[in-house]
Amino acid sequence: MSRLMSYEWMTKYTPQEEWIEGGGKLIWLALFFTELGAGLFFVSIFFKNPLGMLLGWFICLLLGGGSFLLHMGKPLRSFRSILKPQTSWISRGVIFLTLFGAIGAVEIFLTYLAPNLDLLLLHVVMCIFCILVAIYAGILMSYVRAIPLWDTGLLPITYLVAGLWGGAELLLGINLLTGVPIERIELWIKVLLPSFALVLALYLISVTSSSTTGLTSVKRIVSGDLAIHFYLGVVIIGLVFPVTVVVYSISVSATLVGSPLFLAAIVCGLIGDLTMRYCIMKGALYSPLI
Amino acid sequence: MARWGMVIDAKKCIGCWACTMACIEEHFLPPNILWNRVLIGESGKYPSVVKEMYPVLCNHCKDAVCVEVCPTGATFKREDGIVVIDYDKCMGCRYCLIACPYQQRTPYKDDKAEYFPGQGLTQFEILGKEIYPFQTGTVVKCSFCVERIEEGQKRGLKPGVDRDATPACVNICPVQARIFGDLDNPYSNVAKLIKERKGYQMHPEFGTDPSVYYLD
Repeated sequence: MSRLMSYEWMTKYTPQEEWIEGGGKLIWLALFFTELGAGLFFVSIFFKNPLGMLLGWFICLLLGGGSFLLHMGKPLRSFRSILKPQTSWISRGVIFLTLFGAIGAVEIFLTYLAPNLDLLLLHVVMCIFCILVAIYAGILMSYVRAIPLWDTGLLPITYLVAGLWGGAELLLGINLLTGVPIERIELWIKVLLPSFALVLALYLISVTSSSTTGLTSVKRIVSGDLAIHFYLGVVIIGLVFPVTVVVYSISVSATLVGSPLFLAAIVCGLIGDLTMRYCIMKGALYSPLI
Repeated sequence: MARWGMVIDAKKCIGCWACTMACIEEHFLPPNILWNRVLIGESGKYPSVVKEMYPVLCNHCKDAVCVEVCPTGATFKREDGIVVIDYDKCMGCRYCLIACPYQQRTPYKDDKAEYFPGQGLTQFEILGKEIYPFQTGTVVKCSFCVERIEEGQKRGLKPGVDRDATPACVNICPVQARIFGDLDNPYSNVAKLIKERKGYQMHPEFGTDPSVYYLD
């Protein structure tokens, strides 16, 4: 889509720019990092990997939360953002993130300090907060009725699956680099990767039937100015290459597949996730007013 | 309590942009910020093309989505239905701006912007910074000239009837395409016009119940 002339503003499909152009890119990164961090923490709980939990905590709060703060026009007033959880998803998200950070810090601390302690209740609570952190941004966006590309219940699910898939990938990378066996986490990857592809496809298909603006947004992504990002970044780098590596690892044996190949697939998967989020942010259109 | 609203007669509008200019003048709006715009479209096919003018501004919706999504309470609805922003509370997350289906909010990013770049601020701009000290990093929008309404009411004037208590864009309109009044009063000028001429809201499907109605 070529840049709109000022007289075409809201008389034609008008792109959402505030959360993707210039400093708005920080929101795109914030959503990616918070969900990736929460996904990594979630998967690490299941695999009892304290390093993964610690890394997930840092990615979520420092990179994700930090990007959120940097994007704000008045970051010193961010403490006010917890004031309206009854109606605002940003308020709810900040509360989820704060509790994730506080309870997660306790859990990491106890896991390192007393590895034999039974932390089942804490694990369950943290799993819930990981899901809430990973899903809230999708809900926050799907609440925007004015943008049909976002206004669907499948967006939060897509983001949740993407967060878990990214987290599982990162944990696979951590295991590869630290010499931990990868068979079990590889099973997660085998389930999450096709799930991610399926949910993404369902999401895009569902938007096409929502409205003409939704259809135009999807067309912009799959055959318009974002098509290069979508096919190269999401489909080829983010899905085809990791799927090829996974299929190869099934046909031989996970242990026979070299670490560099797995690590390359992980990096490609994360690039695909990031590009998918870019396309969803950039492809958002408002319906013309007249 | 009244619920202030506006009726815009799209048939009368001549697209002169006087409302836009009056708004800039009234609120000393900095460059690149417009609280009032006129959207110009076309309908029909040659040789029967009709040019359509739709002045747009904040709709001060009854179920305003910007009020719902604001995490700090900076955007709130007054008892008289006017949606206003407390700039001291706004943290600049811009969720309201994203969520507004009418796209009537603008981020105030650059307090150094000049109407005549490189030539310094004009007296108009200097005075504006004193009277309306917008804060960089916050979001701004039309306030239905709430300060005029409040001051007018204190003096016993009636918004929509007395010029000093009526929004500037309504006063300036040379063809009287804009009418201001109390939507909740069935005998008010706006309520009568909406009833008689089947006034409609822009995109009611968003479910925000705008306080700005249009007549065709």
